[in-house]
Amino acid sequence: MIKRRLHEDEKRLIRHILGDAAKGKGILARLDDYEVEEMNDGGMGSLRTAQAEKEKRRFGEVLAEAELTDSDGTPVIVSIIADSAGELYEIDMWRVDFLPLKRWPQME
Amino acid sequence: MIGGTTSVLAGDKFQNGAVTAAFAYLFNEAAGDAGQYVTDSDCSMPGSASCGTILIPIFNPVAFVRGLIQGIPQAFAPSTIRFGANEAQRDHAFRHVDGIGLNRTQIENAIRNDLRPIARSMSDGLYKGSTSVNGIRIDYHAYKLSDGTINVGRITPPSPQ
Repeated sequence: MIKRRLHEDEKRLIRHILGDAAKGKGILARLDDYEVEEMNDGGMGSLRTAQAEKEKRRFGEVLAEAELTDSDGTPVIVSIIADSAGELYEIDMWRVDFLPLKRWPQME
Repeated sequence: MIGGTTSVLAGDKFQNGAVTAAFAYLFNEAAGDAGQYVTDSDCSMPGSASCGTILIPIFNPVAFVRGLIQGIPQAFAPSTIRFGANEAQRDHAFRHVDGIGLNRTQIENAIRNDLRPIARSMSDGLYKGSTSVNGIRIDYHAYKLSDGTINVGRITPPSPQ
């Protein structure tokens, strides 16, 4: 898997969803630092942070989530997930009909 | 059926389903019984254009009623629960609960059992459910589509304390 920085539209999406969530402030402050890998989710667009990939990481909690839409109007559930240490773990993208994401949800 | 795991749920249109099943049963069942058919062929005549190709079923009310009864389970089963449309998406759905001491079948069955009683009355859209497997709480997201299909997306264990 190729590691890369978050794209600008991905950072906008995370900012939009985390909003004023208290637990998200530290994450928002470090958005430029995260490296992510695209997950094997059948093309729906989920990302996992790669910072601590050498460590055993596991699900911690869902920090925030939102129902957005793909370009064809199909709902996409986006969840910002922290690991058990409270660090950004995944941006989970679930296009509810399981088809590949057509376009990353756009923030106005 | 699309790839991935599907499940049958109680659905609607019992009458239509049962009658359809009854007709299917009638013709399929009767196909193996030569006594139920007459043919319009006359194979005693070499070169006959209609020889041995057309079978005309005779309506059998007993077979029809038997099919009607056997069609009842099918009639109650038109809806579907899916845990992904392919193996990658199935793995994705279960990734957070792999390794917590439960196997996927246990979890999948628990979610299906949780959804079955409410599937027909669920509104279209996102449903956030919870169930328990061997005393461990499992949370899940399901989404009911307009065609009645229920897709299960993320499945998660409790947050660590």
